[in-house]
Amino acid sequence: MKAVPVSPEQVGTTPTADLDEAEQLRVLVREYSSAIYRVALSIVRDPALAEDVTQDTLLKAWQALPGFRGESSLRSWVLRIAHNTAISTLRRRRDVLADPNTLPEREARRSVESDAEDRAAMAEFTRALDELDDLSRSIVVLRELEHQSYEEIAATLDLPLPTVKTRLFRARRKLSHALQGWK
Amino acid sequence: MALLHPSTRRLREWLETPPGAEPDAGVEEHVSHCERCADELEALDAMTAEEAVETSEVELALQEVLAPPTGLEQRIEDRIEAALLARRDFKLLAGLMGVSIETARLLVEPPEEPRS
Ligand SMILES: [Zn+2]
Repeated sequence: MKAVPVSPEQVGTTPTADLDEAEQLRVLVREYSSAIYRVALSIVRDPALAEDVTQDTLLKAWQALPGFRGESSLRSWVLRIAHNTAISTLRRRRDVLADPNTLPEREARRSVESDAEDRAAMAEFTRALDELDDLSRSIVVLRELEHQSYEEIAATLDLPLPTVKTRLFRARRKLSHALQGWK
Repeated sequence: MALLHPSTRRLREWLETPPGAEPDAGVEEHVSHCERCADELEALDAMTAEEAVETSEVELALQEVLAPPTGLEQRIEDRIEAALLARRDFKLLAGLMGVSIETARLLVEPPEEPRS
């Protein structure tokens, strides 16, 4: 049975520091499930697989929590685990499915129910997102949805700052381009 | 890293490589590591952002296509409970279920019938 030592230094850096193990896990689930899922889905492109990644990430984060040093925000730290878990899940999946054409298609976007024009624009946007490399997708999600600074993204993904900036600018261009007709 | 920085024109062309087209590989490699060019691209990006669709629209579209499904948290909690059950992590399971450790253990592993 593992114990979660809670040192006084951790209090204040870890919002979960004072809680018992079960409560820590519940807080992690409540606070980070959605953000983890978005990062995961942007990489694995399959909703069911994204849920697997979300679960794995939360368990890993919870187990590693005693070693969390507070060098970054807890959120950045969790999302870094999410990114790495999604990438390794995708690699395993690609190994299993030798034929890249058998990669799971993303389910039709359920939330787009408005009109056909919107749907076409979103399909275009989804295609543009799919065409980005995995890293660019994560960078864009961390920037646009998590509102992380360039420095935070560099820390979260362990990348040089120029890589973060340049991939982001170009990825955003491509995505914007795909949205040009959607207005 | 190449010693020479690409010209502003080449940087701009790289930034605006149309979808489906191959980006200039030399520029691509250089800008991934060069802070100076990254800063110049940042300036170019800011300068030309108004011509493109607003960033907030990219954010909205991303929210749309990456939206978490309803009931995600509850489902994840249930799945984690099941995973812990499989691992026989009674202490945590008890906490999650709001019962005592002994109760959690009994729920998972009922005691053997006493022999008469
Ligand atoms: Zn340069």
